[in-house]
Amino acid sequence: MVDASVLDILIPVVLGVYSLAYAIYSIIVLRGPTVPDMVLALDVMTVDLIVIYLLIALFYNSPMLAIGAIPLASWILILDLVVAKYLMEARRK
Amino acid sequence: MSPLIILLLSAFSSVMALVATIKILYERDVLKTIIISGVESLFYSIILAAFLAPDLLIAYIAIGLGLNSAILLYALRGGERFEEAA
Amino acid sequence: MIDIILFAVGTILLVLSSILSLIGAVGFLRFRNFFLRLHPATVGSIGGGVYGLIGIALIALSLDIPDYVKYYVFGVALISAALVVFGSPTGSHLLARAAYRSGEARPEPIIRDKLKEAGLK
Repeated sequence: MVDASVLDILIPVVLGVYSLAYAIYSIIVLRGPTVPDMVLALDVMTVDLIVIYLLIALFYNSPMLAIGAIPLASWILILDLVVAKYLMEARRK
Repeated sequence: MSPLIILLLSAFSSVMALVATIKILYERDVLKTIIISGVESLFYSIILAAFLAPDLLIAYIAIGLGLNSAILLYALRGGERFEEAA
Repeated sequence: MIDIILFAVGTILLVLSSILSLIGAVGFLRFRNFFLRLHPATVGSIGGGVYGLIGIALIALSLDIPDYVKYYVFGVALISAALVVFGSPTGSHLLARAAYRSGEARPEPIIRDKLKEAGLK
């Protein structure tokens, strides 16, 4: 068994890099020139957010925090599907 | 003891939620405002995760990001996408 | 012994995945139109997300923490990785198809549009 105090060094470093990527994605989502750019950046930002949730849950030793990752991961596909369907219907009109 | 990076992340998220709200006010494309409101609920959910509130977190993700966007996009099918300038 | 190997593999995957996520974010800023931005989106979601989730699962399995925390985080990480693997490429392809056919995003610096030459409506 590896000692759990390794996490005190490992998690803040990895979390810092992920937070930097998260900040850049959030700027792209608010700026993005077209609508598909924003939705694509929202997808990748959601994936980063899942990793951040699991890191926070592992850091606090609180497993109930991790359950938010599953609905978040399943809404990626559904948001893409809804926006794509709206765009195709708006073309047909 | 919470490390500095989690507090910094939640502070950044709250500032970006304010920026997103201000951007929604001045945006004329309704489709973009729906997507930005989904992003805003993502920013709030990271604050809820940093302050250890998992029950609110699950409800906020399922309703704020998912159901809200789907219902508003479904309602937008019957209307105009661009607002005229006031 | 097996725990140390699991922890080393998980840490390598997690650090590699964080660097790939940063590379994907910078590529998102630098590329010019939507269809080029599909490439850094793949780097950011598969390289930056799924590898990191598998790394978190391996790290949680090898740590000295209570059993319910360990298996809970392990299961949630693997289920999220499976959902992202199935969901993210499918969503990107759907979005690219809708964006091309509805004229929402134009491939702006373009040499040849073979889809238009083939008579796609």
